Amino acid sequence: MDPLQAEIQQLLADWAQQSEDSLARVWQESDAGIHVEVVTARQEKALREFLQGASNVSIHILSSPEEPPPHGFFELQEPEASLFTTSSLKKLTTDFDTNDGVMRGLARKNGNTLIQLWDGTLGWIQEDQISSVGSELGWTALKTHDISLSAQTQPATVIAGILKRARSYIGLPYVLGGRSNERMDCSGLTSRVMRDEVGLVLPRHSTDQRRCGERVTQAHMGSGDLLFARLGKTNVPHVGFVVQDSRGETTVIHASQRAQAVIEEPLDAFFKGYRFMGVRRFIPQGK
Amino acid sequence: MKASCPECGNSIEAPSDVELGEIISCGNCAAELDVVSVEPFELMVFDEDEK
Repeated sequence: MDPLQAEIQQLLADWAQQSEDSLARVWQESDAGIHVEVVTARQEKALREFLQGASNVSIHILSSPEEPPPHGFFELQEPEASLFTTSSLKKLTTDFDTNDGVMRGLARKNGNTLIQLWDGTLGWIQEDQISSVGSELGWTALKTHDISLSAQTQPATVIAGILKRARSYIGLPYVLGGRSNERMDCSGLTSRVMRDEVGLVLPRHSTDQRRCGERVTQAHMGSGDLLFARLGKTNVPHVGFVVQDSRGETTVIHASQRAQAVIEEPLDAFFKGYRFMGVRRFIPQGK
Repeated sequence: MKASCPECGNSIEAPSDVELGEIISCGNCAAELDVVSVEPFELMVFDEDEK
């Protein structure tokens, strides 16, 4: 075995010790090139730091849209399901539903499949919850994009729809990873509402949502904007929808860890439990 | 308003309406930085906590 391949194999064995689902593998092709398959860009970065510029190693990232999914494409067999962090299906990653479209199948283990949603989210699911579909249905990688409203669609109408949909979830219990008709977390609420109301695919996590959209100050924020904050004295991220009424009163609709439910509360009450981090706009407010 | 990135030393110019608690990115090293003071303008590396 090539000495470098042996070193990489040891590195991957160390990863496997730390993670029950380390799927990384290394092999050598007839061209004498070494190939390594990893799942995430984070693993790729760690591997490149380890290799320090070694040139005869090709790295394949399963979660990259450019790589064909080893197990093809799938769709949900039921309206809603959940993804878990490991193949033992113990810790919830996120709920999802048929509106999340076609999934990529990346790996199989213990009768469960590692899939990737079109927003990039990875997670394990029971095989009997999904069915294979022809690859010609394709898969769309995450794209956040500017909303272009037609001449017939007033921003106020769009924003009213967003807030109405967000309010329809009020009362649902807060569950980390929740994004269903039964449970919600903060970024699950914002991503699901935006997807279902305006077709905008936001990243699944609030940290990534905060990196999108147009920056707005608190003085200029308006209805439909996303307000980012951190929980109490911590740096645990949080997000909710801004609502501003005709009198200029501001409330926030959010899946609250403090209240353990989706609620709407006045802005000053919101800031008793959370500290400001930023505001992002995805829907143009109009003139 | 200017401050140095605590990660790489790059000079960072903040928008004039930057707000306390905002998270901004260093254009040089992409570090996420916490605006811990507006006047004077001061930054700290932002370390997010897990939920």
